[in-house]
Amino acid sequence: MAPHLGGSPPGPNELEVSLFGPGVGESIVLHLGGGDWIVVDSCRPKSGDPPIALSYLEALGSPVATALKGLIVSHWHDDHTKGAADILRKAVNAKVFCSDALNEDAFFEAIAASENPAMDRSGIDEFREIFSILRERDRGRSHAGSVGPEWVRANQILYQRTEGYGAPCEIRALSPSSGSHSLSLNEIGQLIRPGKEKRRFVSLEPNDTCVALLVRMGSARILLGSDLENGSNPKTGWKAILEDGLRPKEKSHIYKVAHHGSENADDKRIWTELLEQGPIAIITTFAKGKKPLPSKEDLRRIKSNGGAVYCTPKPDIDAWKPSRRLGSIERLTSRVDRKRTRINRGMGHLRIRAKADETPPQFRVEVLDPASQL
Amino acid sequence: MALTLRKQYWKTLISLGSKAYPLRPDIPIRPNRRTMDNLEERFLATSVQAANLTETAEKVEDDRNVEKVIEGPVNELAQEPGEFLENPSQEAFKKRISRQFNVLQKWQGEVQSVERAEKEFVAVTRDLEDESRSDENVTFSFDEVPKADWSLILPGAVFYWSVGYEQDEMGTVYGKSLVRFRRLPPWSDREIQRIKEEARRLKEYFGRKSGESGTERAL
Amino acid sequence: MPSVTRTIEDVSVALVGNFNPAMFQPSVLSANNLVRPDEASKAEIGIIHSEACAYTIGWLFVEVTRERFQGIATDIAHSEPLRDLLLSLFRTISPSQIAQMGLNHRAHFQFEDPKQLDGIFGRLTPTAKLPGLLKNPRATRVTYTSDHESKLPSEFRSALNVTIEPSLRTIPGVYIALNRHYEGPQLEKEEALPDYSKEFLGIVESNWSEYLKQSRELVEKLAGM
Repeated sequence: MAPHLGGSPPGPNELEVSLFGPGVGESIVLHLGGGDWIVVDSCRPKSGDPPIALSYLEALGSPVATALKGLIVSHWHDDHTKGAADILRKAVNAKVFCSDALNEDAFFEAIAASENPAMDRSGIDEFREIFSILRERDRGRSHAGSVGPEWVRANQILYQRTEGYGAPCEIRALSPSSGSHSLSLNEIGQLIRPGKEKRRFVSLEPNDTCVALLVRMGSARILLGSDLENGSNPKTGWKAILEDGLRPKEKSHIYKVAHHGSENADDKRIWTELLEQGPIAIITTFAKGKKPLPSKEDLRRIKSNGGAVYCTPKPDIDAWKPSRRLGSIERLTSRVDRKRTRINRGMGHLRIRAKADETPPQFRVEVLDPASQL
Repeated sequence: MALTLRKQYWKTLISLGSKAYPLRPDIPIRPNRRTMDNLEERFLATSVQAANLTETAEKVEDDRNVEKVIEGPVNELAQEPGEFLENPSQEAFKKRISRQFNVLQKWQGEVQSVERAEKEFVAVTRDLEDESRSDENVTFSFDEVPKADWSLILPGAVFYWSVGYEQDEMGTVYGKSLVRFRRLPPWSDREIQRIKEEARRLKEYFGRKSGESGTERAL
Repeated sequence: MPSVTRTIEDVSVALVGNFNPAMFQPSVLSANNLVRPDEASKAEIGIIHSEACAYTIGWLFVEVTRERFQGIATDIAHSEPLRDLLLSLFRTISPSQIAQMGLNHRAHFQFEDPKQLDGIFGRLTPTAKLPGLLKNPRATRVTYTSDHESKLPSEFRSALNVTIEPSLRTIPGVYIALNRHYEGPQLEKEEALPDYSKEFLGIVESNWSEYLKQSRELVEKLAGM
């Protein structure tokens, strides 16, 4: 069974936002009219599979090489980057965008270090491949560095179309704020020192520098929160966006909830100042680690804002018991593991479409199990 | 298993007596550090003498004499290019291994979080036998890890987890779980230097150029 | 059907090249964080010298001369640590010229019924075609060589060798050894030693787990024949 919804591609004046999530991982595919597609972040159904964004676009019959206009990698964590290089390889005309907060020595050192096999599967190795592809493309051009990536800051416009296909269209970055500095890159910088042990990069600091986006097509508006959290610095994260006098004042109808619904990525003002009343909230889970997200408390808090809430896949932890093994192995492992849960729960797909010339926009939501409405 | 040392050293080894046997797989040798230091010194000192000895009538006649002393089957490593580097023969480990660990399942794990106060860590484990199975979150106790490896239990650290049954010399069977943390050489100065140089090149090539505001290059 | 149980398994790597045996001794491994300090201090030493080094550290057996290296993990649980050790040793600690490589996997299987041993050799090497030539012929050791596709350039040679013989460890039982052999083109100057360490270590890095899995499946099928 295909890990995505089928059916026909969106019409030329139809907006689509598709959210994919398999348990750990997230990818958003946007149609902005006229066959123009943008991908925000990337994940795979399971290890070794093609990135879901590619599989979906190819299933719709979309010519990825010409139709995919941009690949936005909102931050470096591996649950948002797996397969991004594979997408770029096929999307030969796509521009690559990433957070300006990564434009630091520590990030480039992390990329250089990721060549060491000890560092693989950290997410940064995906960037290494992306840079390698970009460098290949750059050969033969008139000046070096002309193919990107584009370093994104708050209020930067990544995509714009003023007319055609039913309505004007724009993708604008809301973060990172100018002068943002990634604390998680600090962590990485501390790891790559003479005498230090080699281990993979696992970020423990809040992610307050990734790229949150506002997508506008006609009267429809979508807020994509990426993994943006609130850090200790009020000039970063959601606080910075809410205080930014330059940000657009329109409110969004659809909200891709930031950081899998965690409390640290939430702020009451997001729901009152950035979103329409009773928005459609769409969430991906993060099933790794001691506290999988979203927790029951997170969901209660999100639902209290009103509006329909969808999640991919279903977040109920009890539903994700690991599949049984041979009796002897179960007996041996039960003595050791104090708690065991499954991480990959199958790829869920949430698809929302609306005609660009409808006012107000009439959103049609489709759900592919294990995604569900909560 | 015999070692294919140069002939001149065999004579020296033999002359040094039982303390200088090369590898006898079935007889573990536990020399103390002083013995080993002495052995090495004497070995080096007598190497010239041994070279001279081989030219006298007392030279080792042929490899068969050497093997009689060394005992054990011949190393089956290929002698000439084109021959295969084959497995060492069965006999080489006939008496070496007294306990046998029959592994039923293996995983590779990566530590996600550590609670030192509770002596627990949570890891994502990947099935090494069946890639189609989902990764799993597993909570481990520090007690599952040798104490000498506790300092390695850090976020991002990789380990290998095997479960199975072990049988001892008396035939008693035990359930066994083995957690072994991956050990790699720490970052060296040379590696760091190479990383910094590569990083500088990447930044020069891809980094934001001065004067760019970031708004010029929309799609 | 009488049962076949896998009892003992190990993996090993054999290399031909140019090595410095002193760089592979337990204290060097421990100093570079490749084994635990307590493991290194309890090593069973065979010999440590500039010409030869041989020892056992629990799960690991190492034997090195100037021309040959052999590392054996005495159980499958330590196959990945052996791979990590090899990569660390030959990429960081003591990069060496490597002209040939053998990746080996061995397993002993216990049979429930001694007749199973005759059965397996009977199926592998039918002796019905030797009438009148030998009295009561029975095969006691079978060796096969087959093609083995590796990701090495075409000028490299690789082969898969299988040896099957009665087990000396688990009786009645069978011993099956798999060897993946790799060598590169000889240099024009015969006395010069080629160096294919980059290519061979690439195989160790990329294909180790896959080959081990294939080997385990293959020996399981052969033992069950």
